Amino acid sequence: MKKYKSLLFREYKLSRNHYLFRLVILLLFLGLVFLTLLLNHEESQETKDSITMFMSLLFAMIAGFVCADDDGVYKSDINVGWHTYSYCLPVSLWEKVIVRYLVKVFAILVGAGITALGCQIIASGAGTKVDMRMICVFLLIADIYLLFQIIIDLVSLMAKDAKESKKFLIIFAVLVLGIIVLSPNLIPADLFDMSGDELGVILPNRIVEAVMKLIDKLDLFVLPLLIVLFAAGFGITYKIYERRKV
Amino acid sequence: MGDYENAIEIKGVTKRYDGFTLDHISFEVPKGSIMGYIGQNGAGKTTTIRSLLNIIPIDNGEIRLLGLDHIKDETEIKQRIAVVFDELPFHDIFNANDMAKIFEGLYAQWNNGIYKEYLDRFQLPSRKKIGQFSKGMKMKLQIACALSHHAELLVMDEPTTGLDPVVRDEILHIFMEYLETGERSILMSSHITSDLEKIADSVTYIDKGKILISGYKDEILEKHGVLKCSKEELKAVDPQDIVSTRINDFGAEAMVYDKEAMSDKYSGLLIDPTSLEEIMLYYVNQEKREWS
Repeated sequence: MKKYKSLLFREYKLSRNHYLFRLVILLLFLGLVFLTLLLNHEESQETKDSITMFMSLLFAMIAGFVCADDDGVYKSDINVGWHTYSYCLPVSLWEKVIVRYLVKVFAILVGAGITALGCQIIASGAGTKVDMRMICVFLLIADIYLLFQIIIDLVSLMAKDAKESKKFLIIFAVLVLGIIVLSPNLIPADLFDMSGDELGVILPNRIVEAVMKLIDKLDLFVLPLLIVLFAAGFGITYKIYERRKV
Repeated sequence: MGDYENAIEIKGVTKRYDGFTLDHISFEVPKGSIMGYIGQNGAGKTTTIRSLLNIIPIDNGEIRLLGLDHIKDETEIKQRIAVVFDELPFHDIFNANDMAKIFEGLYAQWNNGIYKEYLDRFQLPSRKKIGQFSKGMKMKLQIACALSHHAELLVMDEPTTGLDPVVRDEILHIFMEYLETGERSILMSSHITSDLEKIADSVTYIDKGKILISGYKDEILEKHGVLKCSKEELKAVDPQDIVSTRINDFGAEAMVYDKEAMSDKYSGLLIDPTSLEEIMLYYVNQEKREWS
């Protein structure tokens, strides 16, 4: 336990500013939205509901990105030389990787809590009810972000050197773009059809509708998927550490 | 403390890279001694050290640290050794107190009292960020961390490079104190031969991935000498007796393998004592035979 305490203390000190900065961004966004909603008494309830849904969605998506985002500790460990030095310490690979993932899990848990609280604040600012499916939106964004990180880590594990790694990443980026462009139903055809409508209302509503439709299909899977992604990420990180070279 | 004769045993270690091979490296560091591991930049010193610490895997050979297998018993070994690199591998945002908090959980034998004593002795502030330390302070901090958990073996990769003579002397003095119990050992790689002349018991020279010479420092210094003569007189010297020869405008200076024997054989010629630095220069140019 003492060892984990020391390692977690190190991770905390190194990632503290990263997460504090992101928390401030979330709080600023929340504060701005809350004040805007509070001060706009003249909007209809329907408009307030639309705005609440869109702002909650935006908040959940931003929270998902910032909480799943890599905190840069691994990269800075390599730059400073700690990564190499850590192989001289009485710390096993398991212990190193467990600590890294404990921090990630904690960040996601806190992020989910902040999302729930944030959406509640936005809803109360508009005098509406909160839609707790926003937690699923948060988890879905975290899943997507983690998946991308896992693929990047897998590429660096498979590649012989930085040149090959770059090549694999370009191929992957082209594949993803191809899937997005060529998939017929991925983006609803009428999403950007703005004909016969007040400016700035239909598009946010359509975005909310499209995302909520997706969430309704996926809501049972987002949490198990997160667990699977954590497990996969853990395994890949272990292999990267086991390889011992940067 | 374990029961072993040699703190480090390396036998036939080979590590291949593109363009460089660590080729059948073998040497031993007896318990209670300091070995200086000498070589030019790029000779293979760091590769050897990383191999014995299992930072990089070896292709062939056997390594034992403190009598234990360096892979199978890795965690136990790492509890009992300390490593010092040429650059401080700690993040700038930490301070000396933070490093104590980190290391006290990692090392079962960590002693905060000893650590604080070293901080006081080295005059290192405990709350100042490491990023604000000078190079000398950073090295002292790394050494303080290395010496604060009763390590039996200290492995150091160029710890005095870039330090001023005063700091180097202070650090070398600390290493001598560290060995006073007779139960601790040091392997120190360096290209600053004057430091190793001061403190090493034995030296091993490496060049282009191969061991050129290994043995007790005093014996190596005693055995070798620099024969000074004219270019004409050099012709009478058997090439088998010479490591290599440095030619200049005034004559020739040839390093001999056996000073005493050569003094008898070439009684008319002057043979001077030598230094580790000279020995390194002459051995590095061994293949050339003559150089300037």
